[in-house]
Amino acid sequence: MASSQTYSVAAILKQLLSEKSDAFWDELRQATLKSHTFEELYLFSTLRRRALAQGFTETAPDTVEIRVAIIGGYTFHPLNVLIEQTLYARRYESQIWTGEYDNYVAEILDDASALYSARPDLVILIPPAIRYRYSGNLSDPKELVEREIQTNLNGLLDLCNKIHLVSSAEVVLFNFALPCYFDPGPLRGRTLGSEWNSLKMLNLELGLNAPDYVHICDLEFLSARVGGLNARDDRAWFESKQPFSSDFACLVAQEVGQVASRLRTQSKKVLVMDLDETLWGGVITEDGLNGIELGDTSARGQCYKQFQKAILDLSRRGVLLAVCSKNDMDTAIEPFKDHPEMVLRLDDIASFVANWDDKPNNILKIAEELNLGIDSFVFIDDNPAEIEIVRQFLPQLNSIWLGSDPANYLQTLLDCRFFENRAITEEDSKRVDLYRVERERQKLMTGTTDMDTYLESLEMVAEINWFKESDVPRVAQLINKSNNFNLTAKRRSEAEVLKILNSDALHLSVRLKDRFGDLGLISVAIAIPQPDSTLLIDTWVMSCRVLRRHVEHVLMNRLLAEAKRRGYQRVTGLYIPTSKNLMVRDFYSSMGYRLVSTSDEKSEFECIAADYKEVPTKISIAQPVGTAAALCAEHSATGQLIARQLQCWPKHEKFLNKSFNARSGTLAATTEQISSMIQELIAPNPVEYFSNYKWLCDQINEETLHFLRTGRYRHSSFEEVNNSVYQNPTYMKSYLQGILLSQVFWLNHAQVIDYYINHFLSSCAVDSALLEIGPGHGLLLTLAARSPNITSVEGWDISDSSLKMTGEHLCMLWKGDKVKLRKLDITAFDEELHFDAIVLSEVIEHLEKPQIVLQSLARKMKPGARLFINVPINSPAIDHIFLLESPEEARKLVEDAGLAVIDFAVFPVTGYTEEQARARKITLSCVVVASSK
Amino acid sequence: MNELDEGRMTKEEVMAKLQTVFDTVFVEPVVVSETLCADDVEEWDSLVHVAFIVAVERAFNIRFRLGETEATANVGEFADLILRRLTA
Repeated sequence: MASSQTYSVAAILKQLLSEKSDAFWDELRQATLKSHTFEELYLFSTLRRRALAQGFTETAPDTVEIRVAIIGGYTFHPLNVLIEQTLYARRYESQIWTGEYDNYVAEILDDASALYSARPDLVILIPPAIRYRYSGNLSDPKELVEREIQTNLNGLLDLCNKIHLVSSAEVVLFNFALPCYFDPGPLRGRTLGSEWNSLKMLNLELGLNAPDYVHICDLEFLSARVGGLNARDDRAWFESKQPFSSDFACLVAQEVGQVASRLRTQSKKVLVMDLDETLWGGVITEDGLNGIELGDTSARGQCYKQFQKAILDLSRRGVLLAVCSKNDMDTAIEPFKDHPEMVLRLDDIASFVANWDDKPNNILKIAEELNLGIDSFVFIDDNPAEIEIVRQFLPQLNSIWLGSDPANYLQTLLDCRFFENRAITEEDSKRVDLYRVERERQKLMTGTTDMDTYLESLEMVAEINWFKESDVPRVAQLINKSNNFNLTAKRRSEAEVLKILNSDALHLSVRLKDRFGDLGLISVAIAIPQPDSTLLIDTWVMSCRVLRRHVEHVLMNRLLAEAKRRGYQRVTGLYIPTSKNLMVRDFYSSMGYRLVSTSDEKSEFECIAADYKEVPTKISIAQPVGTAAALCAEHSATGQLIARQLQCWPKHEKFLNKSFNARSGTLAATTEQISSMIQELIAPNPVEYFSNYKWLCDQINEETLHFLRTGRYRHSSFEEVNNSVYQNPTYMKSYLQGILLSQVFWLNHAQVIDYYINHFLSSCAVDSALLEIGPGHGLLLTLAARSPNITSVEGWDISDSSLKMTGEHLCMLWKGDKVKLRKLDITAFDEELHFDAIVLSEVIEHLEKPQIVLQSLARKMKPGARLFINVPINSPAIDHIFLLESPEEARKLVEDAGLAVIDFAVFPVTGYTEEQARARKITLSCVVVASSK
Repeated sequence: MNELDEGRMTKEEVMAKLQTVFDTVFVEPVVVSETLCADDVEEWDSLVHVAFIVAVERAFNIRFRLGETEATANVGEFADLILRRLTA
């Protein structure tokens, strides 16, 4: 049958070609898409090339040029001819470069190879199975085999990575067809070392680990689909190093076409279904609720039920379901409400149209209700006449005739290939709910009199944020799927979005909620800095679900505010027309931008940031107060520190959210003050500080585990710590850099400094002298120096290296001369101390016998002088040797030394209340202010 | 099955059918003759030869053995090979 059809199609094509009829091209394209035998597909290719050789060409508006390279362990003729043809059928004009037989590794690794001179957009890599099956013995232990599989996996992914790095091409990586000989029998499954199992596992790992730019062409699946023996041809391999049997080569070529077409077209969004004889057997108006065939009691009923289950699975993957039926509405919905065997229920249907109008018109109604283009629709019906009329009137829509036997419906649907997404995002599975809620919104709209009242009644709240890593899949999806509200139609992969996230571009996303529910992330803008203080809006997309809801206005308001805050004077916007984005042609003019230049390819608009007038909207903006993200957006020193820390440690966001959540009033001001000091200190080498902060946190976590297990600090003598830490300059440097950042990132550290400024320093009398023992990072010393009441400041330490660092920091932070640093040991200092204020912050936990220092201070402090002690309780760290188990112990320690406690405060670590920290032996910072008796 | 269906093909019939295969594979018009060989047809290189052989096998429903098509010097000898494969 196939061949007689070939003859007729071939005959028609030859006739059209001899007449040079324009219809030739479309016929050829359709015939190619359906073709699955070698002689057919090759003939079609010959006809196309013959037409071109005769100077007969096509003017196809949607055709895109693509450069393809095919490389691997085989020869690629005639596969290249077949692929060229399948790409042509999907409107690609391809130039195919083929690599040498089995030379792919060299071609990939050599940056100057012909592969890269071919400047491919798409590289097809077909590695030879013989090189990737397990090389050892069947009896080898599993671990050995796994190691080799891992090596092979990494090897292949490294090759893909290299290709992508050098050429930016997308890579189609072929996995491996499994061997189809009976040998080695039962061992095939019983040992990982068999060719079958080792290749299977490698395939599995490839699929799970391939990055975004790698598209797996699943040979294992394809050969299983047609049968392994049909996929291979040993003679063709021996004779001319062919990878596949000739017919299988066609299937592979079609699959490559499919991969390529997924690069530029999106999967369909809506499935429109007929009812009678499609979702159930029989006719509901005639057979009634109990007469239709549906459910497990009959073969046909079971078949329809299975079909509905498959449709429900599509819906769970994010495909919207719509009903378009010639029926009375009341009768049509009856099975959805009351039939016990129905799988699909009314809730699953985003749009339900049942009347006696023609289907094309009804489908247009559904499109309007769902606010989606009908080119994203697929229509299924059992009636070929309905399919035909829909095809004629709505050629952009894809119609599937289910055939005359319901037994085949399932396969027809599941082989239609319209709903193939590369990844499932959370948004996809929620979309069905979103559209149901949209219907309620529209009902509401018919009940209100004017647009403003309607919008107000929606109670919309928008959250505008810079991109977060977790948003990347959705952002990429939105950029790649939006056609209508898309100013430039630029597409971006997840990897590219990630790159933008880490660049100096301004990137914003909008999430919208209203009284009916959460619409999710629905709009994205990316603006790239240009010379001359200009910001260029390079991407602006919005889901059509939120058209006319003022989302674009809030986003523009925010973008301009942000541009101003970052010091840009001008913002320019591009409009690049496509066949689908006419609706946004006047977007920038409507936003008050001035047209700078225009041509057929693009228009450029400009807005002077200072002149921009905020557009009033009915959307309120959610302010994620205190969260790390909100701070980052604020362009403060704190925000910048957080942003940069999150860039190198995104997972820390949760902690930072907790830490910054509750900071307001003086604490917020103190935080910002510390941040700007830290910013100056780390400026020469910020990356080092941020990575050492992460390292420090890891260290502390390790010590915490040790502490919780043993109830003790790891070290208890100065000798031990001195050997392992103080004498190790690299370790010390990392440690101190981390500690510096913790002063702003850790809530208890910031609170202590806040207390120090606003309770301790502020109550110092005019003309005070202050001494800090162990000034370390120097922040407290600097704050003292900056305090107007304090006229002289000294810092003492017994360590040269520590004093050196304090000195360096002071150089950067304090320009005056009232600070003196001295190498002095307080216990060896015999005179009375003339200081009015003495600071001992994070010192005594490092001492074997802090009592000695405290007693010596108590003796030498002048009357009325005050001592500020900051000591962490239950705070394991590699260099903490003196353990205090409660704040009361700290207080007692001070009192026992002969000092009078004036004030006392406790600050638990980030994320804990004081009670929790006390009960669970979690770190608390304890501040004791005391005076001599 | 080959013997029943096509075993009685004459060499002329084989040559006529080969003409349709040439039309399928080659872009330029090629007129089949017994003395025609690859050197006479510009397109006919070793790469296109692979496709040509597959197309012949499909058209005649036969299968050549490893290496044997290389031994034919022109289309006449190739037709004889096809006749042999049609009967065995």
